[in-house]
Amino acid sequence: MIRFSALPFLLATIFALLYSFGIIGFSAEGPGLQYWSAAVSDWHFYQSIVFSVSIAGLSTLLSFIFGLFLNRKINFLLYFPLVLPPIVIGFIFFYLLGNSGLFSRIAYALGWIKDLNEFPWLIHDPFGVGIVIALTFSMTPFFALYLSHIYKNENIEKMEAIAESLGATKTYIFNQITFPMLLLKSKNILFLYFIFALGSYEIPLLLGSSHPQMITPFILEKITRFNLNDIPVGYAMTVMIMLIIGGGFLLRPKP
Amino acid sequence: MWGGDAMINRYMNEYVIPQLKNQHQIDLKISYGQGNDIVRQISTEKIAGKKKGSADLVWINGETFFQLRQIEGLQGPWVNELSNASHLNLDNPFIHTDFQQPIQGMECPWGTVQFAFIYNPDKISNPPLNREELLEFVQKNPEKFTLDKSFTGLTLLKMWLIDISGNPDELYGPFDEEKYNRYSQLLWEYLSQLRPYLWRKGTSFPDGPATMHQMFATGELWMTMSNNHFERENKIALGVFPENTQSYVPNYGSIKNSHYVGIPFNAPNPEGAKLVADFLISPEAQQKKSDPSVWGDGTVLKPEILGNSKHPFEEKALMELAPEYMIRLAEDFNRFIAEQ
Repeated sequence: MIRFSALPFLLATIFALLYSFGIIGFSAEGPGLQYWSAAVSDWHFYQSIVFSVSIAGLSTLLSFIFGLFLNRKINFLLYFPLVLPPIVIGFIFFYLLGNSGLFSRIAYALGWIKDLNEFPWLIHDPFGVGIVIALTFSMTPFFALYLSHIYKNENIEKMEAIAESLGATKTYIFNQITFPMLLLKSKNILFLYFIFALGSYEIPLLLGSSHPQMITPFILEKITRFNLNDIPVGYAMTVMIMLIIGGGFLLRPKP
Repeated sequence: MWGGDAMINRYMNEYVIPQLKNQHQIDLKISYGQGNDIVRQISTEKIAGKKKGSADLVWINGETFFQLRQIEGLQGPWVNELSNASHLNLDNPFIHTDFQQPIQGMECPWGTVQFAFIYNPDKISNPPLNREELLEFVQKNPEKFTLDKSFTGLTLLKMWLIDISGNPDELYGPFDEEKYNRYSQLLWEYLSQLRPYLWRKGTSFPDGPATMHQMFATGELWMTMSNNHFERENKIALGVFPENTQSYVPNYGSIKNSHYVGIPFNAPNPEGAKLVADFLISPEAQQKKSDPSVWGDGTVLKPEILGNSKHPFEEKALMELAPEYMIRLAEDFNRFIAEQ
């Protein structure tokens, strides 16, 4: 079953590879490295990778931290972001955080700002603040539920009780037992969610700045916008991203 | 077809589909996708050697027509086979030529539109009529104007390029590298002057006109723009823009173009597609479509057939430039402006 589900992925990779070497496609001029050299020499591509890694890393980290705080307080409201598709989450934050959004209007009504444009740039900003907020919002409930599951499965509560009975302080228990146990059991899932955030599309498209861009909108713009000769370059970049993620997966921390 | 406009979708779903069913027993099914998705789809089918394609009729123009011609993704010529073909205003250069490419019966004209600026008269009493006035306007009102990175913004860049060249005829005809380099350099100089006063101080540009309209409606922008000269009427009718919203064409003119339907090389039912195209250019369907409360799309039929009066913007209409201009402008806009 796993092999079967890997097949379309494998075919897509082969397609992207053939396209990027100019073997298939309409600008295909026979096997050559010109599209790869265009891809590797595009400095905006690296900028986009660094930007995406930072955004994805920060969002995963923040979601995990919020998850740590919330995993003992599971509430039905926490399920709410889980049922929302990314595009809806994107729109929610578009209407909340934009310069003509709800928060900006409240600040204006309260007289904190004299013009809507004075409100700090939370979306379409060069640092991806809006993307981080939206991604964190969408991933936090998952971590909270996951961590609460581990908490029960690994009998952490009992260990905490024992430690407490032996005279350990709350901070000591958290630092020496709760946190290391949860982190150890979450390593893989943290990595997977990092990749998930790295590849997100709708949220950065709606809330991101046009520059720098996260990697998925960046490559999709190459593949779908205007110049047919950019398509093989976009595929070369796709293959490179897959190699980076694949390499990262092989080198991932083993439990 | 592109499904990004509620009124166009309503025209298709509530008028075209039932009429085709009644008149020709045709069961038209619409699948949605942007022009570049269509090119990707057809090119993938071409590479895969798929004999029976997934679409019978595609809505295209300009650079999608150019790209589909490049990959031989269209069949034809077939437009002259249509019974309504004699009504088509094929003497009009805005209709028989699509981005400087003669259509040669390979795509059937469906409608025409012209670029217009849209503004809020409560905020702007005298809209900027030329490039100098626009620069003064943004300096006086920073962060209230921008242009998007898709077709609409690129159309504006082409209009400025034509304006800089001094004479519309200068850039008509096939792509000219030397002229492009000469005039585009001045264009980027002009944009660098504008940039610090644009929305987000020019650090980010909206993805498409829908985002600009959104920000215009909420007051974040004071001006927006559209490739459709009836956008203002449309959006007022939908209650999105304030009633007193105005639209205009600047003194340097604005680009007018047509949009078309084409039949992919591997269309499973090309005869059905021709019947649909024939209906789309029938006087009744064109009349209905030209009503601003329905869609407000300009007709492609000879003026005497519907007896419509000319839209006042038409006096300042500019032709589309060869598609390579848009491709280059898109790349260079990213390189010199958006990614700086």
